[in-house]
Parts: sequence; C-alpha cells; structure tokens
Amino acid sequence: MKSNKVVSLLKDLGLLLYAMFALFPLVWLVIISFKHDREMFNTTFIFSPTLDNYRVLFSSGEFIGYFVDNLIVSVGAIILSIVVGVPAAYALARFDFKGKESIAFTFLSFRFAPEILVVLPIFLIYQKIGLYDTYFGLIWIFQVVSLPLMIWILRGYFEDISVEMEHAARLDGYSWWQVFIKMIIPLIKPGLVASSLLSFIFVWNNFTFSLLLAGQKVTTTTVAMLKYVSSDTVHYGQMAAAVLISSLPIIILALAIQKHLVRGLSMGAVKG
Amino acid sequence: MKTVVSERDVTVVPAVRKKRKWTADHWLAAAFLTPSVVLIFIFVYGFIGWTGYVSLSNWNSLVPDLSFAGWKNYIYLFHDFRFQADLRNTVVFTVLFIGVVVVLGQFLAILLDQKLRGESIFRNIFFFPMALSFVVTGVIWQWLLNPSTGVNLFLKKFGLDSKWYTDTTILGGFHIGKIEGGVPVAMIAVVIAAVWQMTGFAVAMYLAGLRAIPEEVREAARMDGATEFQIYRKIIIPMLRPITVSVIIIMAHISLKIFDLIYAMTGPGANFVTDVPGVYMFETTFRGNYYANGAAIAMIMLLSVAIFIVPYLISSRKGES
Repeated sequence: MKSNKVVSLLKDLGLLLYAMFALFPLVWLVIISFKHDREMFNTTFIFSPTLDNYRVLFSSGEFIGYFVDNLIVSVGAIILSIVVGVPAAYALARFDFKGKESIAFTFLSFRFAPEILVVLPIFLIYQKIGLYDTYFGLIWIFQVVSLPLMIWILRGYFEDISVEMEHAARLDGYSWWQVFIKMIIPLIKPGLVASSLLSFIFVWNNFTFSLLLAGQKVTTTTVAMLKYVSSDTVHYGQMAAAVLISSLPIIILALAIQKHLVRGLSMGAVKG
Repeated sequence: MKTVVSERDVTVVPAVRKKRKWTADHWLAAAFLTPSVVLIFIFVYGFIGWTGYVSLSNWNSLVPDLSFAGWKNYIYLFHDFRFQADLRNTVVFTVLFIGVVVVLGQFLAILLDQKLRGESIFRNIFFFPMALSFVVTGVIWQWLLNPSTGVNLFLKKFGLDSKWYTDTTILGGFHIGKIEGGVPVAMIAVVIAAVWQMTGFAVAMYLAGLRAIPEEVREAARMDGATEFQIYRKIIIPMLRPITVSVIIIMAHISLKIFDLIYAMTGPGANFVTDVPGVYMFETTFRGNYYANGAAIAMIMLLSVAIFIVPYLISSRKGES
C-alpha cells in the first residue's frame, strides 16, 4: 500500500497549496492592518506592529457611520422582503392555480438580470421623487434583490408542512390567521433565519445600487471602500482594517449558512 | 439522485377545466401574491422594457429626448473602439475564468472527496472568499498585484517582475475591426481575483454532486478491477457533467455582467485592456450622460446573459415537471 500513501500525500499537498492561495490575501490584509503607513512600501513581513489603523478608524466615527448605514439598509430590506415574501411563498406552496409555476419562475429571473440594466430608470425616478441618497430608497431597491431569495427558500419550507396538519388545526376551530401565526410561522422559523441571513449577505455586499442610488448622505461600506482608495492620501492600513471589519461578520455568517448560500446562488441547481 | 434541479412536484392541472368560481383560496392566493408580482413586474420587467426603449432613442445628453433613433446606438457601439475592446475582454475573461473555475473546482472537490480528516476545514477555507463583495475582492487584489507594492515587493527578490493589470500587452495579437484581438495580459490579473473568489463555490457544488453518487457505483467498479484513477476518469467525472453545466452557466452569468470587481480593481485600464461593458455602461451613462448609448450597452449585456440563462432555466423547469 505504499503507492496509496504517496497518493494521499499528493492529495494533501494539492489541497494545502490551494488553501495557501485562498488564505494569502486574508493574511496579507491582517498584516497590512497592523502596519504603519510609512512601512507600507519598504517592508513585507518584518515590521513593528501598531494598532493605530484601528484606532483612527474607530475614533473618527466616519467608518462607524458607513457600517451603521449598511446595517440599516440591509436589515430594513430584509424586514420589508419578509413582509412581502412570506405570503407570496405561502401562496406558491399551498394554493393551486393556473400559471403558478410561471409566477414562481418570474420571481427567480431577476437574480439573473444585470443590475446595471434596471438602475438607470430607478436612478432617474429616485432623483425626481426625492428617494435618491435616502435610506428608504436603498431599502426599497434592496428588497427587490432579496425578495426572490426569500420566496424561493421559504416556499420549500412551506411545502414541507403537511396540509393535513393545517386542516386539523382549522377543524379544531382555529382561524386561518391563528393557525398561520401559532403553527406555521414557528415551523418555518429555520427557513426564515436562513433566507434572512442569505439575503443579508447579498444586500450587505451589493455595490452597484449603493454606488448609483446613494453615496453622499447614505454610504454603505462597499462604496466607502472605494472612497478610501480614490482619496488623494491613500491610507492602506486603515483601508485594510476597514475591509477586515466590514467583511469578517459576513465571512462568519456565510460559513454558517454555506449550504443555503450555494443553493441560493445556484438557484436550486444543487441541493447541497 | 440528490442533485436534480429541485424536486418540487408540479401539480398537474386537469385538462378539462370547467369555468370554476374563484374560491376563497384563490382570493387569498391573489392577495398574497399581488404585492410581489407587481413589484417584480414594475422593477424588473417594466424597467428593462424602459431601458430597451431608451436604447432605441436619441437621448444622449442631459436633456431627455425619447425620439426614435432605430438601431443607431447599437450600430455606433459596434463600430466603437472601446466597445470592441470590451467584447474582446469579456470573451477572454469569460473563457479563462470559467475554464479555470471548472477545472480547479472539480479537481479540488475530488481531492477533498472521501477525505475524512480536515475536510470541513479545507472546504471552509476554499469557500470563505465567496462571502466577500466583489468590490472587496477587487480592492484586495488591486493592492496584492499592484506593481509597486503587494506581492511584487516579495516576488522581485526572486527576479520575478510582472506588471500584472497595468500591462498593456495583448498576447497573440491580430488585427480585427478597430482593435487588436488576442488575450490582454492585464486581464489575467482580473481572472486570478475572480477565480480566488468563485472557486470555493464550484468546489461546494461538485462536492454535493460527488456525495450524490452512491457508494455502490464505486464498489461495483472496484469489483470489476478498475483502479481508483480509472473510476474517477471513466465513471465519476462523466457523472458530474450536469454539475459542470450548472457551474458553467452560473459563472457565465456572473462574468458576462461583471462590473464591481473590475471597477474596483483596475477600471478601464490603459487602451481599455481591462474594460468591460459594465464599466463602459457606467461611465458613459452616469459620468458622460450618454443615456441611450448606456442603455444599449445594458441591453447587449442582457442579451448575452440570456443566451446562457434562458435555455438553462427552460430545461431545469422541464426537469421539474
């Protein structure tokens, strides 16, 4: 079995090599974030670490503002898409009617359209009606991003609840609404959590809409990132710290709901 | 098989359909669905239609002018140096990006498959770049591959000196239209960044596919005296073909509409060596106020994505019923 050992060693080596490639940018970021700007161009790995970058980031309040803005629009969009999406997902799971699949299909299709395709009319309308550069404006367009995800994931959860159970509860004299709140919502809670977190990742990371429909009063972290890059005095260390702080929560979140992320992105092509 | 495209049953509607009255269920369904349907129809189909309409108009200044221009904007674009460069870059980017992601994703998934120790650690390491915004990826790789900082400080010590995305060389250059056809070297840097971000996703998809292959298949092959290598080459990899199709299509729609990554990482580049339609659309519409031209670029992008996506969606729908 000597050759088997060699094979498994080679396998590990291959995996390790790619793991290094995958991790390298992250390690690099961490290093830079502890580096002083004056050491940026003349040292690689050996330098005197400093917490200055993080200190500046948090003391100015500017970055915290971007972070909070991002949080407000992401959470707002998710709440709005839950309100709109839960009933829609329920209807698609429970009721039979003509054209049901076509409607479900239509929801899905937005995931594939280039954002840049719809942004022009929205930009013009937003400027006209005063939604440009407002929280609500971004929340509104972001819920269009998260709605399809919400509907597609929740529909599966609703379908897993047996109709008989629902009917039994109705026969016991509970109203439809009571059944929905007391029985169905608790049953789909895991789906609700998964689809909310998934939507959160997509909305948090969105750039095109944040860039074109806001940017002065309401600035998300993705747009802020470029502000750091394009400003005259580039503070690499602060940028790295900002990237790390705004990305780490998302990385942890994404790893936690990996399966759903794969499904969401492949739109159900893989059950994972 | 576990990997079929969603296993939802589609209720068969009886062929003979009497004129039925709307039941309470129908009203409820309508009430539940209307907000979403209206939203999607206005914000997606309505606005795509509007963009299509603008793309056929004369509106190329700040003053709205929706008079009909026919194909003028499209004809202009296809004769435009920048747009021709965009088309070249998109093709190069899409082919390289998908090719590398598919090969690497499949390869890594096979290495990971049937590995008991450390599987989840590797999977997580491969997967985490997925979680980042394309903008973040762009910013990170812009520093990393920046000729004056980044890894180059390190690589120079070994005598390697690459200009990465600032390189204006075009490999295999030949004259076509107004541009030089071939592979822009600068695009390779962008491909590296995109591969870094998306390979983990392909690995996850292939792993799901590998898990769905029953152990009996391998065992039967082993009984017949096949070596592990043969089992993969002759049986497993062909069985993964449907996954490959999905990966290709998902990656294609990402690469054809790519904007954030390139906008953050390189911008259009000197001589437009890293320009793509998304960046051109953004600059011409929102910086230059050529609304009709921008709309035409967006429509061409939609069309290119649709060529991949529509057949896929139709076939996956057929698979469901």
